Amino acid sequence: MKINIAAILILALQSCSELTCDWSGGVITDYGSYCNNDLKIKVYEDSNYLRYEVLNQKGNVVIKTDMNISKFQRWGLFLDEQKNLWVLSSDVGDAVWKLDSSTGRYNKKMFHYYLTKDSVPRELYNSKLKYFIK
Amino acid sequence: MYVSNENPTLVDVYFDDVKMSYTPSNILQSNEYYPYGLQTVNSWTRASATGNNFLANAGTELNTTSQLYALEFRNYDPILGRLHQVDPMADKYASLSPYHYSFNNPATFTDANGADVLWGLYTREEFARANMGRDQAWSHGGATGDLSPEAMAESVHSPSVGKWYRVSTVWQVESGYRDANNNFIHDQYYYSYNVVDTRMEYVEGEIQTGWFDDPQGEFFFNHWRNGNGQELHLNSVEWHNYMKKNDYLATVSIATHLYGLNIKNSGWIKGSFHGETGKSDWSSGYGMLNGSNARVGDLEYFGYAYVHDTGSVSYLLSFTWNDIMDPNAAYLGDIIGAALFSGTPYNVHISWTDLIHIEPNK
Repeated sequence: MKINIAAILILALQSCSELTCDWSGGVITDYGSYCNNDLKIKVYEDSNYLRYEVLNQKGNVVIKTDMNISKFQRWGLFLDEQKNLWVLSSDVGDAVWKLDSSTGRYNKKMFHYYLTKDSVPRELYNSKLKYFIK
Repeated sequence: MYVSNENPTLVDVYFDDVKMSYTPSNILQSNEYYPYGLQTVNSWTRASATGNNFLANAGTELNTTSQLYALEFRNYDPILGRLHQVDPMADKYASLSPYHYSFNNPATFTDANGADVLWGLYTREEFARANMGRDQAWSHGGATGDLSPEAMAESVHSPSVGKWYRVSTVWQVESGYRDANNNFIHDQYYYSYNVVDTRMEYVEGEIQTGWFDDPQGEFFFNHWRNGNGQELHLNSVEWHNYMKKNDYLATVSIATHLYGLNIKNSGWIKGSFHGETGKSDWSSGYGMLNGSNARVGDLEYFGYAYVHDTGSVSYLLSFTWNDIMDPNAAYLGDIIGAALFSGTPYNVHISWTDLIHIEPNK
């Protein structure tokens, strides 16, 4: 019986340490884990590079960093309402991982110009990442 | 002193109270140029000093024996205003002689390596950079022992750019230009360096010695702090060599892209891709560049690909690294000290030319 109580306590403590997954999306400018009902985004640094990884509900990695983005230059991520992930960097430029809703897969589009007000979602333009937009 | 007696017979010559004095000038070398780079008779170098042959055409070396500028790809003859070998970019400028120099317009353009003409005028920051490079070249000539911080205060006309710059001392560089009334207009860029082997050590100013891995990193940082966002076009020989020296960029980033082109026939190529220096620190020029920026053009190239019979390909390419310098001030504050540094982001474009050879995959 004591063992069962201990097991329950351990399980309870573990559930307390779980992410609450109440992140509503939007701007990411700090390292950490961000979780909502659909996605879990991990943002961290490795060898002075910014790294990010996005997992779906099943725990499968759907997006992974594909460029060496310097952490010493300005950067920011943004998850919009369509679950597209915007990656903005003064080092390498700007990109968006677009969700293909029919397959659930993400495709990356790199922008070979400065982002403008019309090329980004309004909520991104209204966020503090407006700094990156001309 | 030399005395000549022109009399046909020997006649004693007497002098009354001859006095000879020598007042050394602070100036070690003064060069005056015609527009195409030939020096006028007013040029001179103090007898005891080793001449600096890197003063014209964006710091390229004048071979004092042949009187040709020894550019990396060709030799330039400032007397003729022509290069001695055919322009490797002849097809690009089909309307011009393949031996032309700087589009026959040396007041506006320059040709630092003989591979391609550098477009546009140098910015004032580049003057400072180019001067720093010349200081380095001078020190390699072994003449640093002759120089004092008080030495040299001269104005030199730079023929390749049609502007003026002033070298105040070997260690102190002050850049500027002449206005319509020939007044020297001092600009805000002032660098003070002490030459230590092949790197320059900062000895004055707010930034302490040793914080930067190379002068290029310090240059980028200082321009961020003091440049008011002015765009930089860096295409001097010093920057050309700096970019060529990055092994990761050449052997991994560029070579991988070129290999992926899978070229089978000789011909002209152009394009752009994401380039990386392989460095991610904050303190070196390579680290600050880190990756080219897609917003402003990424890493662009143009040139010729020659396919050998063996299948290997030789590329003669002009590259332009397009980037944005926008450091994260909070990081710099953490690293450098308590003070939070601030600056203005700016675009930077660095051009160089390289000859790259890629073997087929066997």
